[in-house]
Amino acid sequence: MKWTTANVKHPNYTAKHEIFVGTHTGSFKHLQTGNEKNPYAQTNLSELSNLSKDSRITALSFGNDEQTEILLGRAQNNAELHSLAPGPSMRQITFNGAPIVGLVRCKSHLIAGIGNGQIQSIDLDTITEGDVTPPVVISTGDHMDHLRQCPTAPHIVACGGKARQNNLKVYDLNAEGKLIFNSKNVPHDFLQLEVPVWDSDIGFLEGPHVLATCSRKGYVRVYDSRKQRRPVSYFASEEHGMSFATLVAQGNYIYTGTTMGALKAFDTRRMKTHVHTYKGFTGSISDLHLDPTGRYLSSACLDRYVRVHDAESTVQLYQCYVKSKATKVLLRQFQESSQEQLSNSDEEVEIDAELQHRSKNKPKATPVDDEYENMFDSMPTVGDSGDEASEEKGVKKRKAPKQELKSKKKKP
Amino acid sequence: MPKIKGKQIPKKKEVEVDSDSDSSSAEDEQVQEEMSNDSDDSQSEIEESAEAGENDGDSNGDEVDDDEDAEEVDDDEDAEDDKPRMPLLNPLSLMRNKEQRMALYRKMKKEKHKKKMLERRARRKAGVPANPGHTIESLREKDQTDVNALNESDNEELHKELEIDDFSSYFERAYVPKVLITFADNPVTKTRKFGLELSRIFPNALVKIRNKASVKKICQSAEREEFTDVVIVHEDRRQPNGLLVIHLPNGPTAHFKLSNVKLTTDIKRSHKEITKHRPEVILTNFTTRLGLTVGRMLGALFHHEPEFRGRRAVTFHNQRDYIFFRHHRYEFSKEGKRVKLRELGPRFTLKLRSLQEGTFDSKTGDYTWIISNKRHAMESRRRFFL
Repeated sequence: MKWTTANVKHPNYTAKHEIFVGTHTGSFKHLQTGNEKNPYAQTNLSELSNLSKDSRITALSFGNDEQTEILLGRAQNNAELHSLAPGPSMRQITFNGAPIVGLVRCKSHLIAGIGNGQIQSIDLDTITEGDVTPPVVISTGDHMDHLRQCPTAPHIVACGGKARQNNLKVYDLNAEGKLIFNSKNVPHDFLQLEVPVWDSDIGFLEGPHVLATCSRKGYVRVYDSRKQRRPVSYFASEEHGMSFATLVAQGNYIYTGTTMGALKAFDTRRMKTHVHTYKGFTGSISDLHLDPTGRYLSSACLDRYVRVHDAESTVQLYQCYVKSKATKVLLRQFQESSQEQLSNSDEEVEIDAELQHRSKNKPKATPVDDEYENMFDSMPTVGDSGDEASEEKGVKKRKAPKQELKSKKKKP
Repeated sequence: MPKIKGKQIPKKKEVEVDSDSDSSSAEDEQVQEEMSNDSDDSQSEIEESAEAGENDGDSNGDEVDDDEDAEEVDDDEDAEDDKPRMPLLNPLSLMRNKEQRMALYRKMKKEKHKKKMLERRARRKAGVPANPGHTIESLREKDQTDVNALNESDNEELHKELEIDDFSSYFERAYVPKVLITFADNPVTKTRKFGLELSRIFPNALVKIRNKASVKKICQSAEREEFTDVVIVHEDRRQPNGLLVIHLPNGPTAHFKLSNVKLTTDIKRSHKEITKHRPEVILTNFTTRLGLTVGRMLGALFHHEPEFRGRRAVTFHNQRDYIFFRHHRYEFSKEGKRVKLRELGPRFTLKLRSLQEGTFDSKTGDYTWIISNKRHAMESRRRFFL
């Protein structure tokens, strides 16, 4: 498509989506791409008049699998819980510290990653409005860029930030915030100098073990916490301007956007170069979100546009001017949020859940033999047990030397 | 460049500044054509220079201006035809007798001219203004982010953003701007002189030799010394060619391409003419959202209260994404109907290369706007970003 500044929607983009946008000014917007009359109409879900200089939205995520609750964090110390299902409602929770760079819901707990490197946890059931119980704090370092939750195991979170001490770390919240994986940098370069670390964003590829990180220092790495602490494969760019700010991963693909407006897709099986480039950006890409089917890639950009691309064909499907710099974006299947359509929405939720289920079990293409499956289910799993750390250590000790050799070989 | 004269503009006081920028725009055009031949075809260049030439020749009023316009209209109508264009065959050119052919041809031309003149006379009698015709500006692609309708209720969010953005404290007059001007390492004389002249334009500015400091360190120390903006002049091949404007304490940072730098001495003026009064700032034609930010940024380099006594005016005129800078002293005639202008210099042209969030961090900082590497895909003759 020809590049333009106008709001555009591709004629083939028939899927009905809702997009939630958090902006630099602090406004929280809702767009309906399926709207026949005006697919670019925007409604503000928060009051504009209350905004101040540090009400910039720095975290936005769905609170539950049905995607009916949105967690919203700002550059100040309070988080907001927006519930969408039976008519919008909002609840405020205060943390100790700002900005909130990641928000995660784990059962009744709300977990926030703070920019100063802390993970704070508040129990939503016990806390009441205006109450100032100090949250449970896990210290990870002195800086944090992102905190992400594993989609399949919600008690597992990963965080990363700038500098060596704030590298990628994975925590288990069920085990009182135990550190279950601490990544290790790649070997020194040919001048025996340390490779700079800045894990600016994290994504879970499959299960809680395989993770991907991207960096403003120009690398994309894939870690497997079962194998080794060093990345199992990585892409490193010498090129100027490949400073990756945000990442989203699903299946074998990693989508990552740079501060200079390039959005690239990588295949984890072959990390030598990127496999796709998505066009249309004139500013830094601040956030990406992929729908459960993995087809629609939505992006927030500091040039004040929100875009949707087809992840496979790279065609730009939708573009909308949102008036202020978009910092966070979420996309979900269209659900009627008004009261009268409640029954309808339940159905759609089911469809959604089904969709997710299907996408999880993608590789299972052959017809299922129950007996065979049961046999496998009854078998004990090797290397996937609860006490992850000790198991992992053993594995690491056994495998590490070999792997290190391998990774050394890979270095140019 | 042609000599600059105090043009007499028969207009009222309020509009005077605008009309002034219009009259100088002809020159601007020319400057731009010289500078970037790639952006315009040769035809328009010829038109422009012809127009500028006529402007220089005449000083007696509107009539000639109208003529130009009319000519332009004809040209454009020829060019802008929707039908498939067939080569026009003049029947006269098939005639073999040269003398007769020439005579007939001359006659035809004359009649054509006569007809045109009649039409024009009729039009003037009716009092219909001349059709301004198509220009690249009028055919400009519509921009979604246009902020012309700033007063509409729809723009509530824009107003809110302007209230809380990085320049809001300047526009609330919370501080007095203080500008640090510095250079690339080992600047040549021309660059130094240019920096010095910039310091005469920005009130409360300080020129420093960079002394091989990094930009990030300069920003830190400037913040400590309570500067509000840092301006860095880059050079290449002994010519100033880049301008980095950093707003402190937390950005944004704009990088401009700098071209056509004419120092005060180059336009045969003396710096002694420039008084110490704070100038008025005129920002014209910044229409898009990005343009608004850039305009605010440039405006925030100056003191918010001009001293009208000094009768100094500096203009940042945006035309086709090129920002033309001019510095004038004006004088009203006794009745206050006419105004005389005298250009003081320097004179230069800026083009935005990138706009960045935060202070200078070219490697890992977030860019609000940059189109490097894909210029050919994004730029078009009729698309402008500012």
